[in-house]
Amino acid sequence: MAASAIPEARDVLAAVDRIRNPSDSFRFVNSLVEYRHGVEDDRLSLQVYSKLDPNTAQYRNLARYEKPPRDAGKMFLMNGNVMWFYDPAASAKIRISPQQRLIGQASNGDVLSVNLAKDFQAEMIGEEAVTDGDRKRRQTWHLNLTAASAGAIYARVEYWVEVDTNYPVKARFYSDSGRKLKVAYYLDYKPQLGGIRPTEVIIVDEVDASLVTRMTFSDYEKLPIPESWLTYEFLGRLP
Amino acid sequence: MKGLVAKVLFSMVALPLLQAVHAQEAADDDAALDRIPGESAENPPRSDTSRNAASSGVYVEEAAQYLQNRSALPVPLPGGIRPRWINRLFIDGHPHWQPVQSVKVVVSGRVEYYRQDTADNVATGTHTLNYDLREAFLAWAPDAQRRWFIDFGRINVRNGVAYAFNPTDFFRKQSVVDEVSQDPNALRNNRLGTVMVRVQHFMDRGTVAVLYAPKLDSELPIDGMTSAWDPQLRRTNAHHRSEFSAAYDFGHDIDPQVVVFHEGNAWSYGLNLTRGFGNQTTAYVEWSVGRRSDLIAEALQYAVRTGTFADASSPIPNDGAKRPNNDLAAGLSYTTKANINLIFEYDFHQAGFTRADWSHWFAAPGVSTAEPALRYGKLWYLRGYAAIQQEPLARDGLFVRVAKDDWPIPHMSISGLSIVETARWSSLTQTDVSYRVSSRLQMEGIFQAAVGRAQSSFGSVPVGRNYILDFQLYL
Repeated sequence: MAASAIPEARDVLAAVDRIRNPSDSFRFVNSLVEYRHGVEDDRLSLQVYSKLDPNTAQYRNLARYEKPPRDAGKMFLMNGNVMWFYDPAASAKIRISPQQRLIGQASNGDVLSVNLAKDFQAEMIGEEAVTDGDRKRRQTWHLNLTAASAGAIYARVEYWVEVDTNYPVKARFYSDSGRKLKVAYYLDYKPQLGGIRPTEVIIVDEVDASLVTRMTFSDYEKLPIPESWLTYEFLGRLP
Repeated sequence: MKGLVAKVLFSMVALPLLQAVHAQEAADDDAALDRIPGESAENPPRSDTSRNAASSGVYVEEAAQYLQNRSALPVPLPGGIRPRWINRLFIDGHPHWQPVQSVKVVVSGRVEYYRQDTADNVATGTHTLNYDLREAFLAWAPDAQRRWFIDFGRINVRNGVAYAFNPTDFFRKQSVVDEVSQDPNALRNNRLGTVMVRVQHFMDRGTVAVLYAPKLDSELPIDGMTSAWDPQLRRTNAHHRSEFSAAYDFGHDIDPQVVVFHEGNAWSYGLNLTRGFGNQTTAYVEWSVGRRSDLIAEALQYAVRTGTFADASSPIPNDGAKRPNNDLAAGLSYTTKANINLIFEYDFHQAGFTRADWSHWFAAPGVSTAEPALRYGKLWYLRGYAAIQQEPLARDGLFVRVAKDDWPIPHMSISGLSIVETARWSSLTQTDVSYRVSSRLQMEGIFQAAVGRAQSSFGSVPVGRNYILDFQLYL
């Protein structure tokens, strides 16, 4: 097979962002199932409202827990590295840091809409064949991403992007110390809001070897989201 | 020549090493793929699109509590039998309905069966059935953009960005109902709302809100604050109160909130500020000022108004004058890479006990008096009043909390907190271990200890240690 012309890494990453995230403001449901030793251990469902900030080129996200019953109605807002958490039982809005984990073993950045090109500097490693989550071989561009903004929740990410389509295939996330944290596989590409997008991500934890998280994205809906909804005072007012 | 040697060395040593690393990573990835479980056809991940459906949050809670009472106190606690066992059984919930997009009905409350016993004589035990209606209100958004909201009913309005003490939370007074944990998070969950009408307007980057809470009943003696089936409007609506608040996001993580509060003929002013530092640290400051008497004078005046004491004479020297009093809470929240959350907060309550007040509080019983019970009663009343008002008793305090989820085993969370009084260095500490048995069942063990020498704030309270076992079952 003839080698493909090597594109700019930042262009590939921007294309990945366009595939992962619709460009308008939108709403979707993220259902997460956590497995331990291959057995379902926990399950939760979030309704996520995302809107691109034209000034920062980054998404602002508002998420509400739908399940499980003990968490239903709780919400959090993420605007850059400004995060607020709301508990309807206490009518309390609490400022938290992005490091605080709110959704089981997945990080906040895993479940929300994030533009990687905004937070990371991309470097092209080269072309590489990898096995995807369905165990099929794919020809990919191998990118190395290093954190370039305070909003980046990982120090380093390796990304494998399909050569012909720019579909994300696989990603590996690293800590500040260079420790492998998790591998993510992007699966089940379907038409959603005007594009073909992955509707399933499987995260294999590399710190806790017993843990796997399956995320399913569904019920995408274009939705005008007023700016006022993305203020912490609006938490609790979401329809 | 050097370049050639380097190339040869690279091809002989470094390249095979890199290839070996790469091969190992590929093998690791294949192993990772083996760990992906097959999706059960009977139980696939589901979305929940029932956006307008009712949500209940209803659960049953059982809490058994054993108290270790102190045998000798520097200031005797008059009257009453101190329980050694308390058992609470709750049915709790905060359901809401959204019959149409513009209207939301919120109800929050709980039924409690409360029983307390002494270990020596069960016959002296008491039991009550209580109901606390925390919230019941209707929220109406007249415009599709949801820029305006009009709320009416019993609403839990809670201001403040601090964790332990909220100077701008002007509706906190007398609102907390029976609660087993001393964690401020738990205390916020179980408080009564105030009957009010509130109008709130949202702009693109800010909001303003105005509310009015009418006087609907008279003040209630603090020893009459049981729940029973009374709506307890005497706790929440004993005065005409109003509040204006405004928040604006100036960008660059600067989004202050100002609060102006009016009760009787007194005004109070407050400010909330937060700021993030990187991905792990947030800082907050919450401040208020209002013209009022200090805690001692205010408590005794309240006691006279509600018929507990005939006169407001104080066992502690006090001028009773009203003056501007400041409240401040400033803190940091830091989360480590291992997801251990640490909170450190300094609290200042100008109206609270000074070092001199503490000296007088402990010395006062030694003064000859014809009515020692009354004197002791007044001294303890001051502390009871501060607790009911959700105000710190002392002028200066520290709060520290450490928490980690999913540790040391999955679904187990551990937290420890300490409320420290710095004039005589004593503390109330709490350790909480909870375990999520399933998505619906959680069990929790709480241990509390009041630590300090006898003549200190927490060293002088009647309960030295407290053991609680708690189960929550979500329906």
